Amino acid sequence: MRGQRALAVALGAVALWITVPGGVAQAHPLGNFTVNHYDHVELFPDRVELTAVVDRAEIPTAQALQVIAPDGSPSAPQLADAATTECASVGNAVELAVDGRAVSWRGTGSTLETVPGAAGLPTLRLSCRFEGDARLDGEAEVAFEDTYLSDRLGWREVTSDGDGVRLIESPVPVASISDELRAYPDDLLASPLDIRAFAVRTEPGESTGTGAAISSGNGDPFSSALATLDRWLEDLIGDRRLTPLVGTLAVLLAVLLGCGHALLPGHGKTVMAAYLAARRGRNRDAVLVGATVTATHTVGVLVLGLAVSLSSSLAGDQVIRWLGVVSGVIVAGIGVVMLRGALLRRRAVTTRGLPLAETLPEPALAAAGSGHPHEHGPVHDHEHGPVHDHEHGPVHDHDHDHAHDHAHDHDHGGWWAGGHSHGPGGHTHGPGAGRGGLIGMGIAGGLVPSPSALIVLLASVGLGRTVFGVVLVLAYGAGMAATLTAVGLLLVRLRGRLERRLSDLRQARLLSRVLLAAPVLTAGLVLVVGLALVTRGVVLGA
Amino acid sequence: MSAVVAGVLFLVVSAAGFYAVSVDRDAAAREQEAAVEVDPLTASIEAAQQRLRNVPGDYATWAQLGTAYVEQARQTADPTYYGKADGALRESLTLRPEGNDAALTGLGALANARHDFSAAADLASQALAINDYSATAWGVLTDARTQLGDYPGATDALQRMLELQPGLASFTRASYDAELHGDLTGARSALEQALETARGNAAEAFCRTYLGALAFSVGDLEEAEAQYAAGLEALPRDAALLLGRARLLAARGEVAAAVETFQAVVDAQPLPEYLVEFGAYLESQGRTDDAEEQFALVGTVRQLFAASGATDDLSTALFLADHGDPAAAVAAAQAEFDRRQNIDAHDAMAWALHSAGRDAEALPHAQQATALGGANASFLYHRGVIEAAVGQVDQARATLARALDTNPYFSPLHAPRAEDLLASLGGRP
Repeated sequence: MRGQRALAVALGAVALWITVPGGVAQAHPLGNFTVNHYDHVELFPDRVELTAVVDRAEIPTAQALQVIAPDGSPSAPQLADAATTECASVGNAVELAVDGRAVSWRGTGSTLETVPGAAGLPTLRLSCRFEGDARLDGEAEVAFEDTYLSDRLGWREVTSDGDGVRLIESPVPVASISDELRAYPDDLLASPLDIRAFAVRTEPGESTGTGAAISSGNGDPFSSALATLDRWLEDLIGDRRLTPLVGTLAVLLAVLLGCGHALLPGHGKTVMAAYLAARRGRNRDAVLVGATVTATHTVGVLVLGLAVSLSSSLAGDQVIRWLGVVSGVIVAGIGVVMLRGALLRRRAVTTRGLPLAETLPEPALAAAGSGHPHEHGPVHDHEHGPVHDHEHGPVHDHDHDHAHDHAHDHDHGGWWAGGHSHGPGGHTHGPGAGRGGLIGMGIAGGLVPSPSALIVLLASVGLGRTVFGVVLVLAYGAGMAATLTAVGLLLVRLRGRLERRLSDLRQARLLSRVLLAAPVLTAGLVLVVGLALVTRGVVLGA
Repeated sequence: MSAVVAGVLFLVVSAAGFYAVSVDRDAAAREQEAAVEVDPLTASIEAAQQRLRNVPGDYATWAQLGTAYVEQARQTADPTYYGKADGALRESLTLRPEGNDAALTGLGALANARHDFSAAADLASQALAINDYSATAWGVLTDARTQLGDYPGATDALQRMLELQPGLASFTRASYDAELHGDLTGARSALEQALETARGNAAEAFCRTYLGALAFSVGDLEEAEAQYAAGLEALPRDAALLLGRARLLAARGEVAAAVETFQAVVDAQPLPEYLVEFGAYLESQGRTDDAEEQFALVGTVRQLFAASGATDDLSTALFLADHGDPAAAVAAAQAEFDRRQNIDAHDAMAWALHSAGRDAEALPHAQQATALGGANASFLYHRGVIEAAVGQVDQARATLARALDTNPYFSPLHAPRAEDLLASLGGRP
């Protein structure tokens, strides 16, 4: 509820005066009437050590000092007595159980000190140390709860670590983020910490991690560089007025980020490279794949961005996960078809005893664009030069690698099948069919939107600059397209060069054998990667 | 082939659409379940924090978060949230300096909470110049005008708010407006309507607190007890509800329980007005030393106020007037009155001037404080004492009788004094 009754304003707001900015002295960062708690639990194979800190702001300190030192400023013995008394209360209120059995605490130290606060008033800082026997030399369940002064407002923090005891997926961090109540973090996007209890399983071993406070950065320098670029772009569109210069800069940055994203190993892109290599693509194929990936990606980001900004409950990460699964299914499907084609050809070679060399080039990618599928030339393959291709007519080219007598038991694959395979002879081609496979690969590659493009779009929409956001996403896509196409062209060229070498080595039987197996291997690889993508999406993301 | 691509795209989009719809439905169902356990305000704060981590440039969510922090500060009395509210609202305004009515409205609510009522009125007016249909901005304007003493203006703004958005926020304000003008039936029914629309335990406790206070203000202890009990069931240990219960126990003469409950209140939230009230109760029981302890804490709090450059002149004036520093009381009351001229400021002014022996000057203020139509027993008592001091004996007897008729338990310290004074003047008219 947003409303506050006028009366409530008068009542509830008194507390605020304390924190009105521009004051003379630094008030307690968490409000002058908070009592703040920090517990650190250290687990050993034979015992548990507990450090409990209670930090009182000015007003609770004044309340406490009325009891501790009724006549004025407290003396050292008075503080020491008070520390002993209060630590006993703390010990009673803090409960730690190992496998359901409560650990009984022995006090091993207590201090109470005054720390200067606002307006020359003191604050009190109580530190208690405890120790308790516990059997943690085997697997155990540890449950902790601090109920001391539970109804007083304040920061509540718990940390835990082990020495000779490993905490398994500890829900609390190892180190204090408030420097044990000395410096409270001031984050606009975090509510004051309120952790009073935790439970964790333990086993013997060394404590490995940093508990729950694991930083999300990974060490890969390329990824971190990209992340930095991301931040720049978000800052650009977020914090400044949109001048032409800033706009241009943002678009350029988006192109750069698109390039970076395309180079990151992930999703269908690497598979696409393998596919291109295996099926011997041509220049136009590389361009086609680049364009498809980019178109799919741009449309995907725009649709998802629209959906996320319209529906507050739509979880973007979940959608991305399922798109990943869809992408994996497509890749796996293509892998199956490739594998089948490769096996058929292999069988054709082995059973019919065709010259290996003749079966080697098995072009399919750029299939004949002419109406009729079959164009049978003489029994040789046209391989002129490195990246040469026959371009007869609009989209017409053919590679004839097959024997004279084809039985025409056409095995028409689907649109994505990369063409029909004509039984014996392994003759593969088809109008637009190879292109279909490429487009399928492109869709799989572009289907999973990159989070950074999505965030850029959402941020722009949030700022009321929807058109600018769309332009940025398009720029991002352009960057991806350029990079993917460049990579594709490079692969095509390398492939061409390799083949020219091969033509010199035709006689090398062993190498030929390897080369014959290569399509099967790459097809298998594509299939495995596709399945891996599906599995990752279904299992890990859940 | 392009048909195939279109087909695939269509498939993906429809799958995404189906997913979105089912997720929405799930989320809605979860929200309904969660309403019982998780406070909607806390949930909305968490959602906004999460969104801003993903989309740091979303000025609208920054404004929403800032406004929610203001509300959270009020509910929890944790002043940390005010600094956060300020930061979030300014972030929103930095991201979008023009036409950002939500951020201006939030800053207005924050200014109200910080008792800078004229700034709040300004900010609300700026927000309304951008968006005339913002019920929240009309609410901020209502609060500011009420505090500044512009009651007709407040009622107008409230009407606009009620038309735009009937609900918890407008009903509770309507209730206060009715109470101020002496329409107790209207005040209660508005609160009951508010209670019906309340979602979450904090909202329910909020409504119950004021239903209880309303019943107590006319001496209806049974009803007040029922409301406080229901409220504490929704939100155990809520300081405002406990304070109501402490007053109730004091009125019934259950001293030990009253002291214990007051102690729980000031332990949980050592706000100066709570400390003063506890101290006054201890004083009324003859426990002067214990009372002094609480008053000493008030001194500490005032020191803190001064150190942070802020003042609480209204409660300071009343406290000093009752505790032997008339000159300082008048100065504080005057300072408050310069800022706002509502009935509370008039009352503080009257009582401070009376304590300084300036009853002739005090009388017009005391009359103003009770002129709106509402019957505030404490304000009536102040006015009766001043009338007696300037020799208007018959008028004083009538006023004091009205104060005690309204609520015989209005103050453990002053109610018996009112009885004595009335008797010494010749009893009820």
